[in-house]
Amino acid sequence: MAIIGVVNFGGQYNHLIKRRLEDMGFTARLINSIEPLNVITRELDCLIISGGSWNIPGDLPRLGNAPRYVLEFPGPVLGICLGHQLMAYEYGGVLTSSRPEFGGVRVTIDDEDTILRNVDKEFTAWESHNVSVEREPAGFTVLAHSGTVRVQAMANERIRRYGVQFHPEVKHTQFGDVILRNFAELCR
Amino acid sequence: MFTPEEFTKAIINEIKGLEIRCAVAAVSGGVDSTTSAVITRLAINDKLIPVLFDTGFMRINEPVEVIESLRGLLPIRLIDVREEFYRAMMGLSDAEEKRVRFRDTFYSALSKLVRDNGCDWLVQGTIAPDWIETVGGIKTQHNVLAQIGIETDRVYGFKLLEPLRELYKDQVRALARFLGVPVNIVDRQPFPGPGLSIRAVGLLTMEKLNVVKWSTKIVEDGLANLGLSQWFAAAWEDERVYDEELSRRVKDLGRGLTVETFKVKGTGVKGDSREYGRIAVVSGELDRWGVVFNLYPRLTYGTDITHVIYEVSNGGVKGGKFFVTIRAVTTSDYMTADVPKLGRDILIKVAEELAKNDSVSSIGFDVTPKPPATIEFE
Repeated sequence: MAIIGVVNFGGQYNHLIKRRLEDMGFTARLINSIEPLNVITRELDCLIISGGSWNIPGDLPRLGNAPRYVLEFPGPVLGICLGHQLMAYEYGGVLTSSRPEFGGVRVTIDDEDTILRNVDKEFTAWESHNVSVEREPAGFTVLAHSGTVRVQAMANERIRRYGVQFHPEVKHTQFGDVILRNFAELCR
Repeated sequence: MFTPEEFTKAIINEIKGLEIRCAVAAVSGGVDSTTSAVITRLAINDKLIPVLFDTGFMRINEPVEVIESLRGLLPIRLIDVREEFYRAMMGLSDAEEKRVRFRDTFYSALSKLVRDNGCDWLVQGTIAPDWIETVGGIKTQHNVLAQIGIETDRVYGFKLLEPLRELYKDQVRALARFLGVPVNIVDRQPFPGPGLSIRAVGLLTMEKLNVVKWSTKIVEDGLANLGLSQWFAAAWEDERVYDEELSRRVKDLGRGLTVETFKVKGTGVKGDSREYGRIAVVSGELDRWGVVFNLYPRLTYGTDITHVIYEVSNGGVKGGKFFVTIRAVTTSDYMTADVPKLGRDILIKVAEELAKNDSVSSIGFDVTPKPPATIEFE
């Protein structure tokens, strides 16, 4: 069975991602970002890089090997919140800290793609961020936006990199389970 | 995947494998601590001593009601520690200081009890969000020790048994139902470990605590049976300053809207880190009631504001020194929480009841989800 690694930055929802995946019948494991890339590559089929209280780029030194995972892990990678920002930054996108969002936010889908399949065109997603992605990296497509943040979700299908600014793992995010499942199914 | 049957089987096996002389279980009447005690009792029977500490920070009549409703399931001993807790806690103001002091007093008392009974284990109802929020620095939960490196064996003289540490609230409730815990306990709204001490926001005094106890009863009765996950009252000194910049942010949502901030601070969670920031109160007439639920993004984005309150009893109350806030949320796992779309009428009705207390100056309704607020204020 495929194993999904959840990189744990100590964010309060990290453990919840593992729970949601297990509730859906997937196998998930919390991992620390000090694990070397070759170990991660050997033991895991795909990766979720989630939230935490750190800001990018200022706190990059605290993220251990996570920047390398984002760029070099051979399987699919999903970035959530901080992980999404890290992905955008590592592939050359632009971040901003002037568009915070907290609580429920209306998100509109621009381009369905893989991870947003079977999700309503407009849905309420739960957010908790100060930093966000201002401009997506080259090669990435913007999948969804909100009134405040233009890059709520992005993907580079060719290299199997996906990012969402909101938290699909929390109950209040509509279709959150669908989005996690869409990603988890890429790992099989 | 979690099922109550398999979980129960596995945990009983695990506990039976431990060397336990006897264990004290700290029961509060909440679903977590009750279920921990019940499941442990299935494994070790009479080697379990369930106790309930009356800290003085529980709700009116709560200790007796809890013991009564669990009579058939757990033989709970009531232990009066009110004096100790009042002595340790009264006069504190800072949210984290209150939580840490409560925890220390709680465990000192427990440690003594474990020793006096010749026991070697303590059972408690820690669940996943408790240690996640403590380790993550959101707030100190009173029941989290091992996860932050406190060696209970050395410091308190007991080993720690936390059978529910990996579960979330909804899973604990399913387990409790499976184990035959009475419905009123299973569906009981969560109550913070430090009790009402953290709903008497800011400086903790007997006078404020009494206002909170009295208001809690009114809010719990007034908003019962609405399908809410948690609903309660909090109180603090009604001392405010007008904020020009914040008022500008909401002025298009009604007529003559003003925003003031209180002297006391409240806990929030923004971008995954704890924020201990100002509490804002909006007064004035809204274009329509629904707008009240759109106030919080205007005031919490890019500011230090953690809670946004709408003043319900605008100018209707005189005298009194405490501002009382009605707090209500819906959630299943308490990691995020939404504000229910309560109508203005029902809130005004509750506010009118609250206004009957001479110590109350005014009444508001907290309209902030989690995040950016936390469910509690401290």
